[in-house]
Amino acid sequence: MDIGERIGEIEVLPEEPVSWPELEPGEPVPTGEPQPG
Amino acid sequence: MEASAVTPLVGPIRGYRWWGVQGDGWLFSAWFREGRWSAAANQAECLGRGRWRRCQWARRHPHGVPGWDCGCGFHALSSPPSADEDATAVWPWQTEAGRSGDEDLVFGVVQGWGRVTVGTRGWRAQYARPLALWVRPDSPLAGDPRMQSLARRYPVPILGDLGVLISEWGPDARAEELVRLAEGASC
Repeated sequence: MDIGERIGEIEVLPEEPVSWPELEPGEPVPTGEPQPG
Repeated sequence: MEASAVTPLVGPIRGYRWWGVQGDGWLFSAWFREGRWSAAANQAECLGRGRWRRCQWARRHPHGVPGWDCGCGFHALSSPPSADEDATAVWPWQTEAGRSGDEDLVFGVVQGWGRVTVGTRGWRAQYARPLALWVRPDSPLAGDPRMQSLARRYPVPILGDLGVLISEWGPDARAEELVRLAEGASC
C-alpha cells in the first residue's frame, strides 16, 4: 500500500509499561519472589 | 534518511487495511495473495531480502524491517479509501471500503507496533495483528461458509456496519501523536 510521503520512524511499544509502587528510602525493592517465613 | 534515533510511543497504533480470505478462513495479504495472518502477533519479513545482494539489503534496512528505503512491513492507512478514490483507483488498496465482502476481500482495522515507518497517508510496521473486521451484510462473502471459519480463526469483532468500525475501532487521537513523534524523529 502507499503510505504517502514518509515522515519519520518511531518505535511503538506494544503495551503500557508496568507501574511500580513508590518506595520509601531503604524499603526493599519488590522482586515478585516468595518471601521466607 | 538515516533514521538512527527512534522515538518511542507506548501502546499499539491502529490503521485500516484490506485482507483476502482463504477458503479455510485464514486472512492473507490482499496484494501478494499469500502470507497467512496469525490472530496474534505477525512479524513482517522483507520480500526483497532474497532478491538484493546482502550489502544492498543492509543499506536499505540499517535497523531491520521495515526499511526506510523499502516498501516492507505491514501496511495500514490512516483513513478508509473513499468512493472517489476508488473511481480513479490504480492500486487494489484504493478500493472503496464499502466493497468489503466482494469476492474474497475483507476490510478492517489492524494494530501495529515495533519499528514503524510513518507516512502522510499511513504507516508500515514491524509487527501487526487484525483488530476488527467489517463485511457488508448484503455482500457475497457475508453469507459464505468462509465467514464462519474466519470467525473461528480470529477472536475479533466482525462488524456489519462500517461506521461502527471507524468510530469504535479506527485510529484515535493517538494518530496525531504518532505523526508528531515521527516528524520530530525525521531529522
